[in-house]
Parts: sequence; C-alpha cells; structure tokens
Amino acid sequence: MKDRSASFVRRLLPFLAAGALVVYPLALPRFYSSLAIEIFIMALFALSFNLMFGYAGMLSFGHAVFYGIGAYTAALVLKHAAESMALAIACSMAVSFVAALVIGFICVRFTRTYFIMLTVAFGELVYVIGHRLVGVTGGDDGLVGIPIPQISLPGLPVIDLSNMRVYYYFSLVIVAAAAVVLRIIVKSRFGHVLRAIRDSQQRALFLGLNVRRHLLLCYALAGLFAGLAGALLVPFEGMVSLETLHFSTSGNPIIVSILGGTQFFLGPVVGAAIFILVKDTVQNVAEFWMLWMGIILVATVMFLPGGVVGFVARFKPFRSAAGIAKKEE
Amino acid sequence: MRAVAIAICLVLVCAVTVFAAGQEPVKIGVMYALSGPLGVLGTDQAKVSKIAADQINKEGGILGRPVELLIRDDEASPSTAARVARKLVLEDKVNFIVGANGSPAGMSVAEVASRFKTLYLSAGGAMTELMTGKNCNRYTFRINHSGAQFYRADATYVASTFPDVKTVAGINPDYSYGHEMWDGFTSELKKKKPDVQVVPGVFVPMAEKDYTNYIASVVDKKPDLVYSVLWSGSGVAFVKQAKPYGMFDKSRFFLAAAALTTAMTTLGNDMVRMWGSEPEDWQMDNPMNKRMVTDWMKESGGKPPHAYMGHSYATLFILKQVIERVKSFDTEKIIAGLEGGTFDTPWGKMTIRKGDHQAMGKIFIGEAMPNPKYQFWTLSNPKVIPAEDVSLPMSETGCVMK
Amino acid sequence: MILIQFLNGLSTAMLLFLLASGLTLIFGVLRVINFAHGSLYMLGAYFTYSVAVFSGSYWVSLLAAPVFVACAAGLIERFFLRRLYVREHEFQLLLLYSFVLIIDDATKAFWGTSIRMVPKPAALTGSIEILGRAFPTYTLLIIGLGPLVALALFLALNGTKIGRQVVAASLDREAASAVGLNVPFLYSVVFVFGAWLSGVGGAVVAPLRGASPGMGMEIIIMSFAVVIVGGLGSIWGAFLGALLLGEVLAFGTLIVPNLIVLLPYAIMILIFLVRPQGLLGRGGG
Repeated sequence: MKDRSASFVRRLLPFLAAGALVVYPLALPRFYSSLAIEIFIMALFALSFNLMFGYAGMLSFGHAVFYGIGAYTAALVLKHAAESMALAIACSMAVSFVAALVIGFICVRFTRTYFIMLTVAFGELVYVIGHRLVGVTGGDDGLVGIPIPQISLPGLPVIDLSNMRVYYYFSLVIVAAAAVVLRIIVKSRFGHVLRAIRDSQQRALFLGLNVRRHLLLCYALAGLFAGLAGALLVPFEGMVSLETLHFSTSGNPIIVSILGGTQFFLGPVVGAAIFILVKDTVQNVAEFWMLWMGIILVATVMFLPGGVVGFVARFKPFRSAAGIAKKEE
Repeated sequence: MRAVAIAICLVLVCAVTVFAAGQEPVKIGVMYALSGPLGVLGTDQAKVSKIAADQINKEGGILGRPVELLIRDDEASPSTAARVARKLVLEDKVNFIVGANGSPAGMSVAEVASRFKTLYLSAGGAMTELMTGKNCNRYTFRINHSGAQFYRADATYVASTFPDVKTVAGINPDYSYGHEMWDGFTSELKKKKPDVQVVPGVFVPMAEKDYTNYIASVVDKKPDLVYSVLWSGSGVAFVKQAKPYGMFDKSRFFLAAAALTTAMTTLGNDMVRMWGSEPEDWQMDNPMNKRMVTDWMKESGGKPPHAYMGHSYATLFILKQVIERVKSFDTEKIIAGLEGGTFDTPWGKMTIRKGDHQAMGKIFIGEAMPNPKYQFWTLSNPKVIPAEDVSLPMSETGCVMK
Repeated sequence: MILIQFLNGLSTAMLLFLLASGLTLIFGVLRVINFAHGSLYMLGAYFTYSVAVFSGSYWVSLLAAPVFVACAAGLIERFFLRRLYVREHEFQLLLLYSFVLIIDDATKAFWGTSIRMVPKPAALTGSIEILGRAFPTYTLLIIGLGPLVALALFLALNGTKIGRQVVAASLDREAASAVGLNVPFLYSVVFVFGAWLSGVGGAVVAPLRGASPGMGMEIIIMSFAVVIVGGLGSIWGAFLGALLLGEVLAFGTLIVPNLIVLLPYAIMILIFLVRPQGLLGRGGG
C-alpha cells in the first residue's frame, strides 16, 4: 500500500513541478517573474559551464567570454540588423561557438593549472578588447537603447517580450529546450567519452580516443550555450555592459555548479536557484551577500563535495527526485 | 434605520480609505554611487537628499503625503544601475527615481524609466549629450547640467581670461562623458582662439586609481593649460598623485564640470592652484541655499556642500513644487508640469526646457583660493553664466521626444 | 621624460614582484595557484590604514600589517586548505576563490566602501629632482624595496636550513616526506610567507592609492601574467616578468595608450604559445 502511493507521488512530481512553473508568473507580481528569469538565465549559463567541468574535467575561469559575446551579439543584431529575436539568438550561438572554437583550440592543448591560467588570460584579454572597442560595445557606457523585439507567429497573438510575464515563459521554453539538448549530448557516446577523459586523459589516449578533438568540441558547445544564455539576457535587461565579460561573471557559473553539484545533470539548475534566491534575500536585509555566498561555498567545498543535490540524494525518499538528475556512472 | 446605519458605515469606510491613502508615503528611489572611487560624491548626495526629505516632511510632505526615500548604490556602473532601478520599480514600486552618478549609470536608469514608464530625474551629474539628445525620452528629465553647457562656458572663460594660452593638454576619463567634454572643449576653444595648439588628449580608465604612468605624458608637453573632468574621487586621486611630479607648478589646471568643489573639500590644505567650473555656488545669498548649507554643515562638521549636492537637494523640492502645482501624482500631468516649468532652487529660479527636458541652471567659473574663514579653499568671485547662453540649441541636440 | 617613465615602470614592477614572488613560491611548493593572493594584498592595505590610524606612524604599520595578513593566511591554510590537499587541485582552487569572495565583502563590511587614505610617511612626502624633473621620493622607496626582497628571498631559500627544506619539498613531496621532513609544516610556512609578501605589497601601495574594495581583483590578474611570463615556480622568473610587464605598462602608456591594457594579457598568451613554461620556468604543459 505504502509503496504504491509513494510511487504515485513520485510520478506525479514532475507534473506538479511543471504545473507550478506554468502558474507561477500569473499568481505573483511581476517582480517574481523577473527573479525567475534571472534563475533561468543563470541556470543555462551554469549548465553550459558544467558540460566542460562536471563532464570533461575542464575548469575554465574565463567562461564569461562566451556569455558576454552572446549578449553583445544579440544586442547588436537587435539594434542594427533586425528586431528579430530568432535572428539574434541564432547569431549569438553561432558567434559564441566560433569564438569558443578559436579560443578552445589554444586552451585544450594544456591541462590543469595551465589550462586554468590560459582561460583567465583569454578572459581578461577579451574583456579589455571589449573595453577598447567602444564603437562596438559602448565601452564603459555599455549598449543602451536596445529595442526589445516582439514575436509574431501566424495565427497567434503578438508575443511582446518586453512584458516580464511573457518573457518568463519565453526564457523558460528556451532554457528547457537547451537543457534537453544538453541532456542528449551528455547521454550520448560523446558524453561517455568526455567522462572517460575526465577520469584519466592518459587512459583515454591509450584507448585510441582523440582527446583533443573531443575536448575542443566540448569547449565549443559550452561556449555556444553560454552565448545563448547571454542572448537571453538582452531583452531582459534592455542593455548590455562590460560586466558580462568580467572575471567575476566567470566565477558565477563555477559557484553555482559547485553549489548544486557538478556530478548531477540538474545540479547547476538547483545551484542557480539557490544562488539567485540567497542573493536576493540577503540583499534586501544586508549589503554583503557575497560574504554569505563565499561562506556557503567554503562549506560546500569542504563538506559537501557533491553539492546540494549530492547531499539530498543520500536520503532514500529523495533519491528518486534526484533521479531526474541522476548520477551518471 | 438600517439604511442610515449602512450609509454612515460606508461614509466612514470611505473616509478611512481616503485618509489612509493620503498618508501613504510618496516613495522616491534615490540612486547614487555609494562605493568605489567615485563614491565620494554619491554618499554625500544621498545624505543631503535625506536632509531635503526631512525638511519637506517637516513642511507637511507633498500634498499631505510624507516622502519616503529608498536609497540605493548604483556603483556608477550601468549594469548595477539597471538592476537596481528595475528592482525599485518592480519590487519596491517607487513613484519616482532620482539621481544616478555618471553618464553610464544615468543612461541605464533613463532606459528603465522609459521601459516601465516611471519618472526619472537625473541629479547625479550624468552629463552625456545622449540623455537629452539622441536617447531622450518622455520619462527622463535632467536637473543637472548637460556637458555642453559646461564645455561651452569653459571655452568662453578660458579664451577671454587666459589670452596667453598657446598649448592645451587634457587628462580625462575614458568613456563617453570624458571624450565628449574634451572634444567639445577643444573645438569650442579653437573657434574662439584658432591659434591654440591642442595636444592629443590623454584618457584614463573610468575608475582608475593609479595615474602615475599618465602624468609624465602630460607634464612633458609643457602645456599652458590642462583641462580635466576627472570627477569625484578620481579628481582627488589625480591631484594628489600629480603634485610631486610638478604638474601644477608649470601649467594652469582647469578642473571642470563640478569636479572642483569635491577636490577642494576633500583635499583641504593639500589643495593646489587651479581653476574650475561648478554647477552651484554654496556661498550664494538666498534663503533656500542658506538653509541647505546650514543643515548640511551641521551634518558634515563644517564642510560645505560640493559638486552636485545642491541639485540633489533641489530635485526633491522640484518634485514637491511640480506636484503641488498640478495637484496630482499622475505621471502624465507631472510631465506636463515639468516641461517648460520654472522652479525655485538654491541658485535662484530655474526653467526646464520642454523640447529636451534639460534644466537651464547656472555655471560658476573661477579660481580656487584659500579661504581664511574655513579649513579648505573656495571658488572666489566666480563669473556667473546662465545655461541658456551656452546650451546647444534644440536643433543641434538630436532629441526627438516621442 | 623617458627616465621618469622608466622609474615609474620600475616602481610598478617592484610592486608586481612583491605579489608575483609570493604567488610563484606558493605554486612552486604547494602546486596551487593562490587565487586569494590579491585579497591578501588588499587586506595588507587596509590593515596598514587601521594601524596607521591607531599608532599614528606609517612605519609601524609597514611592520605590523603584513604580519596580520600572514596570520590570516595561516588560519586559512591550517584549518581549510590543508584538509583539501588529499583532494583534487580544483577543490583547493575553488576554496581559495571562495575566500576571495569572503575577504572582499568582509573588508567592505568592516572598513566601509569608501577609499581609506593613508598618509605618506613625513620623510617621504616630497619630490626629488632627477635630470630637471620632479619625481616623488616615496616612489623611490618602492623601487629600492624590490631588489632587497628578491635578494632576501634568494638567501632564505638557498642559505637557510628551512629554505632548503622548502626547495626539497617543492621538488618531490614524497621523497621529502620519506627522508623525514615535515611537509605539512613546510607548506604552511610557504603559504604564510607568500601571504606576508602580499601584505607588504599592500602596505607599500596604501599611501599611493589608498585602500579600496576591489583593489585585490585588479592586481591579481596582472600578477598571474607576471608569474606565467616568468615561469611558474621561479622567483627570478617573477622578477624578470615583473620588470618586463612594469616597463611595458609604463612605456605603453606613452606610446600606445589605447592598447596599453591589452599588452600584459597578449604577452601572457604569447608566452603560452611559444614557451609555456615561461622565461625561466621548468617544464610545463
């Protein structure tokens, strides 16, 4: 009897969650929609990072490069080419992918410490270039006055992306779709090879796998999805600034993934929610939310190497909920 | 009987609601740079805003409603300003936003104001042409000056006061505002003195702390005049670092556009010989100014207000004046009241131009001198130029108000 | 003017060396990049401010502040970092990064967000005339400090018993442990000493630029560049790298002011491509 009702609840859970996600913006004021959108964008950014780190073992401290490039590309498209979100997103992903291929080509030749330092170097280099290219990026002033597009699909009412509630659904759909694609990548043969490389590059080489090519493609895909996250930022904020390329922005997906759990697919998503919620709550009460974030992070690194999801998964009743974010062997 | 009782209850309920609404505070989001090297100015602007709000509430509030300030740090950064402004509008549901230090932050807030149809009054010194030019919008009003008002006044003053100036160099912050001011000043100066030699301008990153590498390149050109709009903490740091390199001994230093008074009040006796242009004169003799200066000196321990503090103070009073004039909190009515309206300020009466929402204040230019009455220098006998004389004509602003 | 700019470059170089030497030393022995190095530098500046206010003397703070920084670093190493030596390097890096967040915000909470100015010591406030041009006396102090520190480090590592033990531990941890050296203790010594150097850097820079939030972030990446260019683990490499980048920054500001900020990172990447172990480093990739 107990088993059947438990499994009934277990199967109902995803539907309840989906239902909550759908009803959420309608039930609460606009501010809560904007909070959720921040979580979606951060989640995607972190998922893209974790593809590199959790699955392939590459710790990049310069991931903001692709996030920022995606954001600026989308902004420039909307401002100068056409007020089309589809075009902006497509261009962002393409440009970020190519940039990641170029930078990745140099970076993946190195391992561990040298890889990390190189990503930091590129991060700074791109930031500084962005700062200098005032004509393109607006420099310290940033890009303002970006028209927020509307989407007209035949037969449907016009979708006004400048409306917070509407944008909530839009970004939810995009991020969910991206997550599905990432899940497919991770469960494919490619994903298995990445994990083999993460566990031991030497062994992978001996098995005849082309380590460098796999890592490069992984890096480039991570860049592509980071670019998508950056593109989503543009209609939300209505502007883009150099902050998107800054070293501290590179730190965010790292913090978020560690918090949630790098060995779980949805770990970064959980981490993103915690991160944004802690930030918002603390900011209302005190100014120093980074302090608390740092403390939480130290605790996580020292005592919860599996992140929050890893911690929760230890308890039997929750194991199935974590099952959606199941540990990949 | 029952009908009468119900009627009385309804009347009471209505009265209570109206009374409660009347007591509901007017929420004003106040954004300034409270941290970082540019925070010197912002923190004081936030404090003087509090003083203004307290005074307004002492006088009965605005149309009977008390003023409540929500003070936030914009870090002089466009991304922080956008986020903070959005939060003020969506979560805190403010009625108005004032402030924003620096053009990048100011432009960001203007965008948010336009998107969410909330009134924004720039009082933090965001002086880029764009705000009342190409990017002007219906919901943004600029109470502080536009950069053009300053550089045109500066060029006029320099040309007439220093006829012997042959070489001009500049050291300015490397963003829109710094470039606009340098380009504007030098082109206006050349119009008046075609024989002037302009050395290529030196630009430093916005919140730079180490000027030593840049100083040599300026000093070495032996300019007669050095023009700078390094404001708030940047100006202070620059003066301190440049002094031992001998910069102020050989060249006249012109610290323009509201940067001088901050330098004077912060440097005290570390001050060096220089000139500058200011948006206010705290020594002016009018009742509103005297009251502000007295209240501020109590708070600051005898230091006078500097840079745009008077504007921060005045902006809240301008809101009070316009709302009481149109007798409404309706945004559209307030916009109509602000456009072309004339208001009392610590520097006299000031009008806001309808076409671009730019306020027409005054510019005070002169030399900084030690003042025996105080621990710091002051602007002595400044020349007063009305902004109307030096503003860009509407046709040149590029503003098309939608 | 060239001489003045060269001297400016030297002072920047010496400051960078103070930080880079600690960074490279820590990496050479503990094999971890100390992300928190910039934050320790910032703490050095803030402690200098507080001690100067308390004691009224800059020289006292120059002595005391770095010691306080070293203590803070000691606590971090002993109670946190040490427990992660058995785990992968990434965790150690992440821990140090977390401390960056903590220290940066704690600094704002404790000292406030406005810049804290530290007055120069009275003896060094003026300027000296060099070839007809004025040059700040205080900056000359910084220039003199660098080579002194380099020499002291060299002597310490080669001339003292503990120095040689440190070098041994850096070459081969297991062998050092096998011959009876207390490796965890040596690690602590190195980490604390590296932090002390960072604190000296902060103390020295405080009168010039004051103590401000975010100053750690600004210098850390430049220090990484110096360390990479010089070679991870090489002290003389750090010296050379600091000289190179210090002068590049100084003269770059004169020649190519628009591109100046780019140069250090471009050079860093170039070194990675051409000679990944740095100018004086040993093995890498």
